Amino acid sequence: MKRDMDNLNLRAAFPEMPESCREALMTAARSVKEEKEMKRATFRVALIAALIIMSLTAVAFAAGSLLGWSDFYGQWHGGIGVPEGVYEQMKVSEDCSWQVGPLTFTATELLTDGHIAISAIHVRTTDGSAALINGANVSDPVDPIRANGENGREYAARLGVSEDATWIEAAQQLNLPLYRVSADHSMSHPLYEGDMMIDVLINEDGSLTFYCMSMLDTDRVQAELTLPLCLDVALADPTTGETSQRWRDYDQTVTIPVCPVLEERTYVPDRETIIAGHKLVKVDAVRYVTGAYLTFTYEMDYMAIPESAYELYELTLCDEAGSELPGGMNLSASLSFTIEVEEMIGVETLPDVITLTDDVLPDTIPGDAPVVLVAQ
Amino acid sequence: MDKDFFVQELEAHSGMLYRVACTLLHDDDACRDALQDAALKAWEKRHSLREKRFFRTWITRILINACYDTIRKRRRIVSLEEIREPQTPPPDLTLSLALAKLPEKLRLPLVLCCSEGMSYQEAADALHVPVATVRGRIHRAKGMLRKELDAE
Repeated sequence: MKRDMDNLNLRAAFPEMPESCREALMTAARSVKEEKEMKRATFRVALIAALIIMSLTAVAFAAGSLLGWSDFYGQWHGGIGVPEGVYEQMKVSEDCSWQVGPLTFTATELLTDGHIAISAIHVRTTDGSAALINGANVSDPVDPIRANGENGREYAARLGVSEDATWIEAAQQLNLPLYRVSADHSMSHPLYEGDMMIDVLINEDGSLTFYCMSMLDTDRVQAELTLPLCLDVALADPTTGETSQRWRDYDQTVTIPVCPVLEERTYVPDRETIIAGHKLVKVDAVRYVTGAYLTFTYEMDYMAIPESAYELYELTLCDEAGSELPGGMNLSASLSFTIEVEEMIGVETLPDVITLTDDVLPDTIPGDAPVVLVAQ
Repeated sequence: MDKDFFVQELEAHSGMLYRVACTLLHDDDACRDALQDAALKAWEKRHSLREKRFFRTWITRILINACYDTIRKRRRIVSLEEIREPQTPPPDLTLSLALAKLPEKLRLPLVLCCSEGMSYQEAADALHVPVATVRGRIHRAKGMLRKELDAE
């Protein structure tokens, strides 16, 4: 019997909580003590902190050693095709720096193709002093440094702390300030549409590269994009991890030229193609230096059209004076819906043929043969 | 946060916490360890809870980390045979087995949202991923779960 996925009782997949588990949880909860425990440093904090500070400030700071989008895509998100030349185009040639509290934010990479706006902003202490800097909305002071993945584990090793140490524990052990920063795009931007991706990488010298990618309303983007930035610094209390001091600058903007369209093609399937019940009509491809956006246009399955759509027939068409216009010779009516799905591929030229397979969700495409899309 | 509130909230969310631990650990012994560790760690880090209304999301994140720590410490590989024979059978064994076959990345957000009623934002906060990622993973999880169940 087929299950109704929308009303699936997922809790039935779990047994009742065993009494032994409940007892373990509640015994632990009741055993806690309310008095504040003083943490004793088990390391020679002063000496170690001094050594760390000396080694961090002795590192020669070179702009070329900063992590950028190439590192992000290359090491941490393999499988992404990045066309040649795009990283060069991202580089910011002028000085785009802002001081927010004790930190300096510098835009090192900026790019937009009208679909996405991406930025890499470097964050460091203005006076070059040692500090721990992590990304707000990416990790909390109570998260282990290893939660930043391989980049976090390497950083913990450089600091000489356990990778299981939380950010606040590392700050306590090393007697360093802990700053949580944001350098993202304003979500109230009028051209903003959809979700925003945020991530960080920690550079060798302990400074941070803050990555942000936001989706834009393509129809409203013009030749240039003025992107408002939200630059935020929060100093964490070394005992509690809570914010003890905060600095903000939400007034800064960067203006980026929008990459031009380099190539356009339209593809049609080599046979009538029904995918997940909907008829694939065509695929429009538009290529930029960033890659190609494919817009799949489907005719919606007639049976899937919502009931409310039929109310659209009930409108009365009138002239300027409000008098009803006479009906036309066509005594029938038609109702059809299209679905558009946009995807991106990282290619440097648009291919002549694209094939579609259903490896991820088999049987989405009826039959065994892949769908062949041919450029017109 | 005082101790009374802490104990009261853990009691209220105990069922949810057990199910989340089960989602990752599949084994009552390991669940017991993770739940205990999570409670103790949560109390240590109680000052990191910004507002009491976020207790559920906050404790879920701590529990998830505790589960991963438990996996590392115990270094057990849970075989499919163990999954198929839980100590206490759930009401819907077929569903339980199908759920267990999902990759953990898909299983966990599905449980958080569709079993425990978390919003996409709450699940995103608990899992440290964007909301869109949660939506996408749940969609894929439902698709895979449907196929598993249809095959039974």
